[in-house]
Amino acid sequence: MLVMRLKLDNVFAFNDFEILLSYPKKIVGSTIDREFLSGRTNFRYKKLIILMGANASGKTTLGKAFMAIFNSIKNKNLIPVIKNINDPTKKASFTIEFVATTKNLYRVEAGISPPGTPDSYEEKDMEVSVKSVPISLADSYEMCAAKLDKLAVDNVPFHKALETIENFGGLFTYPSIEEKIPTFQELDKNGLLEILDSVLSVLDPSIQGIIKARDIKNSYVIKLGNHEVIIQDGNVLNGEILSSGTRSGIGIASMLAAIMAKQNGFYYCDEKFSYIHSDIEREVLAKMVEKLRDDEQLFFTTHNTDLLDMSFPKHSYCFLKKEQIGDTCTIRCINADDFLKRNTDSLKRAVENDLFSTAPDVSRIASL
Amino acid sequence: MQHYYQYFVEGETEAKMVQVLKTDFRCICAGKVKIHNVVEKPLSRGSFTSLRFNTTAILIFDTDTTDATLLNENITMLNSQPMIKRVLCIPQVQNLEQELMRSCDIHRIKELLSSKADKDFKTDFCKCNGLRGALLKHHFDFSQFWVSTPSGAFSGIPNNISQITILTDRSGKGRSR
Repeated sequence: MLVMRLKLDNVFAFNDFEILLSYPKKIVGSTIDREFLSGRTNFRYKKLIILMGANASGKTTLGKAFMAIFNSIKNKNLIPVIKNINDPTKKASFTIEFVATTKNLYRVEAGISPPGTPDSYEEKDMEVSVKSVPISLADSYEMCAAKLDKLAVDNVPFHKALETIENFGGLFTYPSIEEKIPTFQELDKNGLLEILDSVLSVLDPSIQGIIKARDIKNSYVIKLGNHEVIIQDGNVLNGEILSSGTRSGIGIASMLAAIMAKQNGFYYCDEKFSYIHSDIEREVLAKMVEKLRDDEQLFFTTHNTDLLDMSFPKHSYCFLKKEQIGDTCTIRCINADDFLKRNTDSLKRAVENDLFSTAPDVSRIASL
Repeated sequence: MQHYYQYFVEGETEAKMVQVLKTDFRCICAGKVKIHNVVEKPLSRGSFTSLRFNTTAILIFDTDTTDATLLNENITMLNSQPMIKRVLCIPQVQNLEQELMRSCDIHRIKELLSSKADKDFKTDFCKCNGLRGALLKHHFDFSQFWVSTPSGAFSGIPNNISQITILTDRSGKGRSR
């Protein structure tokens, strides 16, 4: 599963927002392996998207928007998107282009008009079109998108239109110290214990080991000196002794395990590393990317500028910029490779000198 | 060693102008921007401690007042800070509006963004979403921008714009001064 383009208008805080996830040319010696649709070398998509930006610039919300749209398509109704329309008195819309499991590029366009009665949307308020084209051997994304532009739209009810789409899904994780792991049993079969042991023992060298609990369902026991900490379905039952970083390591290990188990194909890892040392964040990200397989995609949001000098291609880095102009809020996506063309251009230097004008305005704090 | 730039600008309009020049036109060195009127307000200790080592401080200020005492004190203070590599001054003669009128094909500042009146310019400028386009529409000439030498109380202040000018913009058009 991979997303090639998303447009949002009046959904969450996004107005006239667009993010494109293809990249223009093959990168010689790229550190990201096979960054194209399998068997379609010209169909280049961004396998890794490192999203950065100031606080409240939309990094988490973008994940929520993806999730709402995925759920709308999967459930064949637009309620998840409707719930997040910013201004219900205005039309809201989204367009998403993606490749699910077969070699077809889908474009789903939806427009939701303001309801006749407040908060009671009816089917007549919603317009959905679904188009798809097969991706031929020599096709690039741009060629397929041009073919989609030329296709006529079938006039069918929106749930009928959505039924034509193959099943797909994604894994979304959001910032929290701990969280339930809904697929614990599946991950357990795919090596979660070993990954958890490696990650947690790096986060806290005093951890002596992790074993599977005999008497408690879906549980592990962390051995730490004279103490035993129980994790059940990802929740720490008696974790006061663990540091914030170590606790957040559980969610990180499960994300890594999900990638290694090829559980989803689309991963949105949102600021899971707020409590984690920068070196560990770099190492985990490198491992996540290394373990991504064909036709998978990872979104990774962070504030850590130490990730800027990792040897990923520049097109992997996107910056969200939010501007409040009068009553209108706009969020823009700025691609690092639009600015930095030469191999020798330092992304870290550019960001630290705020070339993209995405740094927060700290003047009001400074003037206190 | 990494070199950092920190702009201290007069107000919101100058902050936006610096953003457009560094990000959209790519004709000045990129750097972070803080709004601080260095002619009217002393820089506090906190203003320096958040700066990184090897920072060039760039002061952009109006010269439509008659007292440059505080500005000189701020420059002296900045120069004495170990993290500051150098201090550069960009005096606006006499303010941003006049600089823009000299570098665009307009006679009144309200013409730049089709404002109702000159007094609406600042608000419109800050609200403008396509400033690069508006400047290009009025044939903005960067070689005529921020180049005047101030007079009166500011006559001894140098204009260091050439030290932050990048010779080419995004279109590759020459920007040499």
